Amino acid sequence: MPDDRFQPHPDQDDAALAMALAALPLQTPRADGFAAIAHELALATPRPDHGDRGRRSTTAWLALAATLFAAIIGVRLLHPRTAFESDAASSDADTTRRLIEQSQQLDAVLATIDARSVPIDAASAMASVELENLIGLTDLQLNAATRDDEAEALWSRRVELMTRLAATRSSARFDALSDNDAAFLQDASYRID
Amino acid sequence: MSSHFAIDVPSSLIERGARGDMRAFEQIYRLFERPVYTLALRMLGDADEAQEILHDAMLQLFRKLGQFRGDAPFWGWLRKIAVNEALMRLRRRGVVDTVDAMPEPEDFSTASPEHQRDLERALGRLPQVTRSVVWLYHVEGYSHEEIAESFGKSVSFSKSQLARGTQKLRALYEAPMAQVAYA
Repeated sequence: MPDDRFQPHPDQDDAALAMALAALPLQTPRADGFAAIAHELALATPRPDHGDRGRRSTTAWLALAATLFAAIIGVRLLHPRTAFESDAASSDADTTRRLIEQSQQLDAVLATIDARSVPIDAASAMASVELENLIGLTDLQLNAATRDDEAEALWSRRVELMTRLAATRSSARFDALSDNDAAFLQDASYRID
Repeated sequence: MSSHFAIDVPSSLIERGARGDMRAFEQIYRLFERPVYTLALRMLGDADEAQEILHDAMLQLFRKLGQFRGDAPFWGWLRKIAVNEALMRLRRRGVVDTVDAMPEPEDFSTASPEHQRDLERALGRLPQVTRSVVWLYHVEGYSHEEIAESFGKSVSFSKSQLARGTQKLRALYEAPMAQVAYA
């Protein structure tokens, strides 16, 4: 016969149950949802009106954008056969080689853009992060790719993502140029050495 | 009461968040991500819906952050937002108004010896509203009056839901405790 002293009192029992429930481990969400929230918040945030500052920086903005646009288009012109315009006559190996060269040149373009450490708005930052993640994923898939056609498709994907990343970053930095940047670039635009 | 929400947040971090500093937002999000998700999971019993509640509650939080007055703990304010989001879901399902449709008590006699897992399983078997009341009362420290207000019901509703839910969970909890006591 069990000793009644060990029978829990209802209130103690409730307390014990509360303790047991509270001791259950915290659960972890399956997905990291912060990026989605930041993206939604950024979309809902109106862009600041730059006023005179925006107008003053237009020339500089255009100069930088034109340079970056030329760099991106230059990559396309130098290497016209991309996955977007597949050339059935060229070998898979040639196509893949060209895509790799394009990818390397876009790396250089992105390095040029990133060298100007201008802050960018949250929406562009989130878009950049998403594209970077996709590029990282593509790189992982490239490491695991065993077939030539698979590698070609992945390199094509990488070039496409990097082109979008370069466009996003250059556009965002164009928006964010400060007065000082604008003045500097205006001078540089009209300088004849 | 030992709510996982009870985290002190520096006022400077809240102020930065209220000014739209995304880094501050992220720090607040990281601090409360798991407590909000866990609360939502306990109340709704569905991982996908819990994820959606986390999203919606945090979005609400960040949009209203400028309205936080600081006259009560920040975590309590956020918890209220999370509870309201979860309750909105339950109302949309119509379960708040059909709480009398209680299933028959489950048989816990075949529960595994791992007590926490048994308890989680038992909790998951409670009807959603009963489970929410049990969790809010026992873990989050809500009073019957607060629960009644949150659900838009009477205090007796809260008491009866708690009694029924507690009774079912106790059936599971007492057995292992008794085994330890009499060993």
